[in-house]
Amino acid sequence: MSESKNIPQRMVNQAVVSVSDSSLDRKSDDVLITLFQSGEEEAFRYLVERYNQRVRNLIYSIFNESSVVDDIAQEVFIRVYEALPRFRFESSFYTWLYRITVNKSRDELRKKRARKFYSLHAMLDASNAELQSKIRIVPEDGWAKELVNKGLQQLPERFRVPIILKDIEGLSYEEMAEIMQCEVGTVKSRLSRARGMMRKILAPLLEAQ
Amino acid sequence: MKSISTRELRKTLSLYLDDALDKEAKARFEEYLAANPEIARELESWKKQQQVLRSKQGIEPNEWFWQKLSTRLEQQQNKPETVFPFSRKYVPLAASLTVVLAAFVGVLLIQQRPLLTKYLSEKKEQVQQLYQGNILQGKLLPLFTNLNKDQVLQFALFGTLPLDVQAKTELRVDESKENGTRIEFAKNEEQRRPPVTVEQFCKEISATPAQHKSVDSILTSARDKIQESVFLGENKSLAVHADLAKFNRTMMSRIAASLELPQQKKFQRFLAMSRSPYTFVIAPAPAVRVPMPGPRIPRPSGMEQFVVITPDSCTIAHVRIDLQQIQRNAALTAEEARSMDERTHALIREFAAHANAQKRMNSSLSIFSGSDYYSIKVESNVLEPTPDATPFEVIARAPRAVQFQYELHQMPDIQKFFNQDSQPPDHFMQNTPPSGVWRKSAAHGRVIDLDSVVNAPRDRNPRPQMDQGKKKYNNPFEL
Repeated sequence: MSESKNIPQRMVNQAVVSVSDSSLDRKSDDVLITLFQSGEEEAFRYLVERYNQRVRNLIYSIFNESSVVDDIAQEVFIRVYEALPRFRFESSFYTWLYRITVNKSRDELRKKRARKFYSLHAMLDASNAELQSKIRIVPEDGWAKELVNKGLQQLPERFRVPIILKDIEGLSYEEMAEIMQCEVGTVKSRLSRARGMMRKILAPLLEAQ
Repeated sequence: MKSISTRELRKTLSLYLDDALDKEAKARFEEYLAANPEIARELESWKKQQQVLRSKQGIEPNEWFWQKLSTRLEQQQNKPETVFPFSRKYVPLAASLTVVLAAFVGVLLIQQRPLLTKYLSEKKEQVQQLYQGNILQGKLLPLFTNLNKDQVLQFALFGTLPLDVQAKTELRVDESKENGTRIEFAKNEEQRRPPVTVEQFCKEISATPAQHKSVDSILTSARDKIQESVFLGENKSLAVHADLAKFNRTMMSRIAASLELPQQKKFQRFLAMSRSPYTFVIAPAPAVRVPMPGPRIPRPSGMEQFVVITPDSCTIAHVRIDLQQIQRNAALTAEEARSMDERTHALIREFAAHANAQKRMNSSLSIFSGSDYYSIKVESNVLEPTPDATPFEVIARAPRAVQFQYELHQMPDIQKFFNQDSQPPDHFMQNTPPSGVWRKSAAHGRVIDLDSVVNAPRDRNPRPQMDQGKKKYNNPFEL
């Protein structure tokens, strides 16, 4: 962390040297951020193109609804665009980006719950969706994928996020703690519980293999 | 490794899977796995689960993501600033503070309810008065259309205007901070205040031709203003402009300002001899500080404040009067104008007869009436303050300043005093100013030192120049 605090000035110098270089996509996150902070707005595009798929995947894992992914991802990057001038390199960019994504997703989940609670139409839609999912004919090879996605959706949000971050995104406990804004011990505890819950959901799949 | 709880086992399995156990713990757990094949199988399931999750397919890439995002960013930048002057994250805090503030104001309002109720009641009354267009319904006729300059001068000196020559009635006005505004309709008192003419006045003060001309000019201008100040309504109503009560003093001050110092002194002496209730101070008037209007309803343009009297009520109201229309009406109803004196006299008698039953729409209005007078007193804080930009301060002369009939009725000694001393002193009639001290006969027990009144204000200061150019207010009483 202390090393990353020393990055900016070094990166500024590097950025100044390389601002004329058109191959921005090869620059590190820190260089791109420094360039952006010094007025090179084009650098933001490279950050978006570098991370948008990871952000979209994370959102997709959390929601399992492709229709909401792009909207939320755009909201996330708009937030990043607004806050990036104040980014102080105290954490890695992608950890920071993931934290924004998780927070935004949490907000959306809350709103979604509220909408479901207050909207009769949403309740009817949900029951229809549930019914449709039961009678839908799933191809043999898609069965495992469907089960995994549905299994994740059955987990409460506070258990869903750690298992996604660890087993799908492959982050470390420390990174997860930073993203989830909690202690590493809490991360370990939640993750073990989430895995246990998932184990029960995926039992048919795991036992068949 | 001894047996462990399910929770502990789950946590250890999870840590083992992530290779997060230290060497010692790892070795102990591996021993445990060897001894418990079902737990080893469970570990295998967890590993499979992890593989399944890692192999989970993500969403299809969106090639247009950046284009869509950049469009939204542009829209975002073109959007107007947020309605809140602070960051969105402070909105809940601001909302909480607003609720607390609203609760505080609510409690305060409940505590101050009586005051608030009174305030709202007064405001309501004011608003009602403001739009009381029906008080002065029908045609309006200016009451004083044919005043001559002598009568205007009488008004300046005594605050009186003739109403009905036959009935010998007059309108008297006065305004002071102490006594408020007073308007009285009563018998005239020529026996104690002989009529004064402009010629006589100018002769008394030894006015130069230029000064005579100035006085004439002031009186002419004042005559027009007086004409716009008292109206007789077709529906038996009478409206007197609130500022009329101070206009006589303004006139006196302006006349004094048009004179040189010797004439000013003679003017003072003349006021004393003619038993004017006023005199003026030969010194620049103190700077007038108009009080702040306070929580009053702002007067709409064109509205003037009048004291409006009907047989049933008496109120202070804002009235919009179209003078041009009134003058046309007056021209059309010449016959009505001829009988106006009688009508006015009859109306005032009716006011006096119904004085006790008259509804006072303002608590600060007092009505006094008798067989030969009808008088209204308005508290000084009710009427809208207007700047009294007079060059010289005009003050009341005590004790002879008692000029209102109702005051005389309340003070029989003074009435007696005036009745017994009804004739002016000879030297006044002979145009010779009194010298030294003029004393009332000792039989009445009163000694009036005229010098103390007439010569009290010494003229050490030069006469201030009249600032004719500055006309700050569109007040009909401003010269």
